[in-house]
Amino acid sequence: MSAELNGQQYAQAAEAAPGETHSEVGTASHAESGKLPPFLQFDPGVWMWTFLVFVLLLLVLKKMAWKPIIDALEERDRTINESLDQAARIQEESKRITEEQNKILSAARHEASSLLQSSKSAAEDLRRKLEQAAQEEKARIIASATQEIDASKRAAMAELKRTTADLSIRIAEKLIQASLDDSKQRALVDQLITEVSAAKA
Amino acid sequence: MHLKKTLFAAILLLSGLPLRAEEGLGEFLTHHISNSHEWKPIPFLPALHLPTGWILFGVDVSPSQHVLMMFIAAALLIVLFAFGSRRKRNAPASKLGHALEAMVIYVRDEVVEPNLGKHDTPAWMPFFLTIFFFFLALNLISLVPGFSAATGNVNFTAAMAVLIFITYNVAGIIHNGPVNYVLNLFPKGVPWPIMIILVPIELLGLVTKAAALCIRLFANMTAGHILLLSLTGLIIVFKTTLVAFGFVPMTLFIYLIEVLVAFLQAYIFTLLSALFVGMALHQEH
Repeated sequence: MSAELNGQQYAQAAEAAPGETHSEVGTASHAESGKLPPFLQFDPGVWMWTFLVFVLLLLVLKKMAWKPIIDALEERDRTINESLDQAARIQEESKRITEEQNKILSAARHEASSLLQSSKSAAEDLRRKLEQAAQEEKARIIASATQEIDASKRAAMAELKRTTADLSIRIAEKLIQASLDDSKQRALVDQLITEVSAAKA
Repeated sequence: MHLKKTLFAAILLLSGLPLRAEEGLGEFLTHHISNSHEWKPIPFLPALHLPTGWILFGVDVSPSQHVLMMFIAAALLIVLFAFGSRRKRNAPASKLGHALEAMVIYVRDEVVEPNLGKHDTPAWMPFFLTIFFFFLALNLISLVPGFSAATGNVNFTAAMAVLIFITYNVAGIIHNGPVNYVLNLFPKGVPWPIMIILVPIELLGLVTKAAALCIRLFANMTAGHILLLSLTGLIIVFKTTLVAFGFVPMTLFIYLIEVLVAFLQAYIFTLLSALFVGMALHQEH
């Protein structure tokens, strides 16, 4: 079980059978001497090499592999977290912008519709006003035309009356030549004309 | 077709075995799970003799077969990570790199961080990653015909367990201070007569944790290999290679389980190491 013994066994085995394929100590001898089987024996060489190989491997891989890989993983984790934060921020921002857009759009729509409404009513007002003005103008023109016609008619009637009277007087003069007092005759004629007019009406 | 495959597998398996008619099954098994100073990677060719007689401070430190396996595993890891840790725009440059990174992430997120906490994890990652990948490489190469299991050598597992034992105690002492660390090992507010029983139990538990690590890995790896070899060793028992038709499918089945075990044991060793270090660092839990 001691280190030297084990080493000696290996050394002896190697010396005794350098060419053979199986040079380890057989189990039979262990059973006879009451020792542990070879795979349970203490072997300080393996201990030393284990420490040495493990520590060297740790140092080499730490420099060559672990540090770059772990740094890269941390970097990636950081990048992913940052990207997620950024995405959330952008989403928030875009939501805000969309809301603002909608607000502006609805305001514009509202304004447009009210504008349309007001222009429509203005046009309607204008139309009504123009129509009214035209009506008034028409009425005025008709009224003035009627008045003029009445006046002309009255003048014509007066003229006609006078002319008729004159003519009648002259005719009567010629008929009765100074036999009658002029004023009496005129009064008579007027009376006659009035009678005639009344009868005519 | 199936028969042909089985026959082929049988020949392949048998060619990897140095059959010796004069041996019994016991010798056959012992030979294959024992360390030695030679290595026979290729059947029918003479064995490779490793140097002997290296004496350091009166101790034989000649590199044995299992030490050679450690070198191979270490070299394999260095080569794999030399290619695998190359990166392109903060992503692994190769498929190998992605595969290795996935395992690194697994060790970080499932093994180290839950036990050590976010704050201590970065500093401890190299240590646990080295344990995991070194053990995994050793376990996996032991399944290649011609290679042997250094993780099935009790000297190796004991050395690693001692290393873990020193690590978690030293880490606890540095982190909590020597007095606090020792005081925190024992529960508080317990009447003193019970402490007489409790103190030895707690101290023993401190050592047992590491001892269990050593024995678990050694026993699992050795048992798996013994199982594989026992099935193959039926040839010796029955003295005919015809039994290969029966045991080859069974061996294949066990072999696949052994691949699982290779990953599982590397994971468990790393997980428990992380657990013990975490317990030593954060004693309040």
